[in-house]
Amino acid sequence: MKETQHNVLFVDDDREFLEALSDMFNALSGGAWKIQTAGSPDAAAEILKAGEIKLMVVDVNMPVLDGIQFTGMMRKRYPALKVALLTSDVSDEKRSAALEAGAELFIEKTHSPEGMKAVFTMLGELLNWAPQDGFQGMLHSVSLQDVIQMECVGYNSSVIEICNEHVLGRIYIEDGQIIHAAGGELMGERALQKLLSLPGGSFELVPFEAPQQRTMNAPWELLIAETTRKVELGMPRMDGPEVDAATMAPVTEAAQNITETLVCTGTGAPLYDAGCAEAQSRMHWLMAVAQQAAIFNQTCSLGHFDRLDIQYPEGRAVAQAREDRLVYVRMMPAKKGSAV
Amino acid sequence: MKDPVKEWLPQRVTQMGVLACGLRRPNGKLHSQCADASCPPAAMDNLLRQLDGSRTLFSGETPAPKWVTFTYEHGQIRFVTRPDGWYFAVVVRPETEAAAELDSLSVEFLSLQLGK
Repeated sequence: MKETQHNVLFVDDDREFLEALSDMFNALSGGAWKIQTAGSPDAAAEILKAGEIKLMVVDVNMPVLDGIQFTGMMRKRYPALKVALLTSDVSDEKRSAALEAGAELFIEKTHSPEGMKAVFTMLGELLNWAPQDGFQGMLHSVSLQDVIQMECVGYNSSVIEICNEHVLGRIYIEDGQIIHAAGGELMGERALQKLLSLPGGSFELVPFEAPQQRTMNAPWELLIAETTRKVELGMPRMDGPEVDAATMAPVTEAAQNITETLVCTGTGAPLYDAGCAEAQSRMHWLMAVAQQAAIFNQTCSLGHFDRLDIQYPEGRAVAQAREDRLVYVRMMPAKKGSAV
Repeated sequence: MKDPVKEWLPQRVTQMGVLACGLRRPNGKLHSQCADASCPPAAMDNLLRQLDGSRTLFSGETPAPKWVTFTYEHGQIRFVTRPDGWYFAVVVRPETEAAAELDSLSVEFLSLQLGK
């Protein structure tokens, strides 16, 4: 009985290289690999739609959409797909970007027969690697907010332990509701805000244990939206040394009146809406902002888009359009003497 | 009257942290200056054209924005428009002198005495 074939897709704009690679790997695998090739990410995306590809090997340097960007996109769409990136530029920067995009392997591109055999061996190892008993997985580029949302949507009970070099914190989720948070000297919503504003660190999901007190009762969607809003408003970033609770001035003390707030998921489902007269059109506008930002980035490569700030004659607005979240906040200066 | 292209623009590009900057005259003519190979004059010209196109994003806003800033991981693009049809765009590295002075630079551009 013939062993199951591995479906492998090679993506490279260099047709000659693709042909050479395909011929050699066909021979080396003895027919165990069913090799398909694509000269562009576009063509590769079409092939991937069939859902048969187990391993995709992508050239980093391609016009229009490079291999790292393409990997990032496909990784989200096909989580089980294994990806290796080939490149002539094996700098640490490229390697980090490749692994961050979700590639399992980052391999130097070679044209020599010996080099190609080495690449074949590495790819073979990757194809044959299988998880141990039980589930084992990796979430790529997952944010703390994503994990909280997953736990809440699933009505789970758990504790998320967060730490970075300055802060140790915990968020308690019981039956899908955020019931308590503690971070540094803060507790409740302010601790949640502090933890969600951390620019980096690590977190771990551990079994639920009841906190000593319950400090939050609002629905989790509202808590997340409100916390996101405050973080977007530029509350102090808590990436420095531990701060005293007194420095965490509540947003109501800022000399701004929030006139409009909209928080949506990346697909446009509203999470929080306050004062937004036309949420649907605002959501479409946020998506248009993201597209425009991507167009600019093709001209001047400046990395990931973070936000758009709009300064009006009076007041300002901040728009953030990420894959997982759309946020818009409009602020007006507080009138002198008014309660903010 | 100052010619902003000859006097004002070249001074802006020398500031620490500026990658490139450019002006668009009311007649559509573009003038770009670059300080970093990552953003050459041709790219800046292209960016100015794209920024021109992006104005539809804000056409429904009342009052019209004074300026807008697209912030990325490795840089910021500030776009300032004037009622007389002049645009100014500057690309800066984050956390630099130029980034810190974007607002004052924008105010300066808005107050310049400019011709057609």
